Amino acid sequence: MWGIIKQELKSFFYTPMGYVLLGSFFCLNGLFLWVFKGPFNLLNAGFADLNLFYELNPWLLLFLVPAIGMRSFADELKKGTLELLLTKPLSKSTLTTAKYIALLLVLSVALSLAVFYFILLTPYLLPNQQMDWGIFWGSFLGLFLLTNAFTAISVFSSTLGNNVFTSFIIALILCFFQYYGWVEMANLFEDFKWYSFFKSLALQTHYSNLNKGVIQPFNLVFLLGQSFLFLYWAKLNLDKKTR
Amino acid sequence: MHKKEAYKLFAAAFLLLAVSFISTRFTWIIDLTSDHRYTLSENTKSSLLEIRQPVIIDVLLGAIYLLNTFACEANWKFF
Repeated sequence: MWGIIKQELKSFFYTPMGYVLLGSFFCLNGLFLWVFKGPFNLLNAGFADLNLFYELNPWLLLFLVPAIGMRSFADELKKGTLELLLTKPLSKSTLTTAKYIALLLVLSVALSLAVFYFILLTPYLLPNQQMDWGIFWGSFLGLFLLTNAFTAISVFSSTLGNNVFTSFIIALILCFFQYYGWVEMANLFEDFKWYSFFKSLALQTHYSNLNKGVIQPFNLVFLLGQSFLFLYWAKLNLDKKTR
Repeated sequence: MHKKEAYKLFAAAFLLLAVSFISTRFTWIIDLTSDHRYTLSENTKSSLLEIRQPVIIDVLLGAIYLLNTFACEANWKFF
């Protein structure tokens, strides 16, 4: 399993693509949060916290995660190297998990930006104000779990076909629907029961709940469950592809 | 064989839904905020215990979807 994770990391960082993707993610974050005078400007926000960072990042990750994850199985299927991988003494679920963990390791490099930005905000605190690390780690957990779900969706969509670009588009659409689509669906219902049912299917609801610095079992279970579900679907897809 | 896979696919989705619905029954909360913004203080609890008659709270909201949002924030139970 570690061999595969290492292999994935190598293939990501030995090519310029990894640096270009992570670099553009950092650039966009920096520009939106510190430079552009738009709605996400941290310096104009009035409070020395990272709420705007956590508001902006799901939308950036919506593009970054599928772009990083699109290659994972689609490339193997295209080159025909998946058969080679499967001859090794590894189960398909181990293979899926290994690819998933490798992607998460890459993405945690991107997410570590949050810690850096939070420390950068220290000079802007009021004299009698303390850094609220509790709420920070709560929100960070939310963002990390959201990334987990997005990664699992990308891995799943990359098992669908052997075209890298198609898998990117499918992952993008699926992530967007899982993140925000259910909210719009919920707004169609006036009945409270249906509204709350559909709203609770959206990743955004759970993410924004964790964002407040409150940890509830429902939110944790749903976000983790999404990643398990899509990884399991990816494994089922692999079974189908290799029969 | 193909049918079996579709069955597994949907079974996993339903399992996720079932597990998450069960998890709504567990209402414990970890409040990470430094000022414990989302925790009831001892003062609030003791004054709530003193209430004997039902309390009516009027919420004035214009649109029905706002009401839904409000109810959603206040209560996470479905059934």
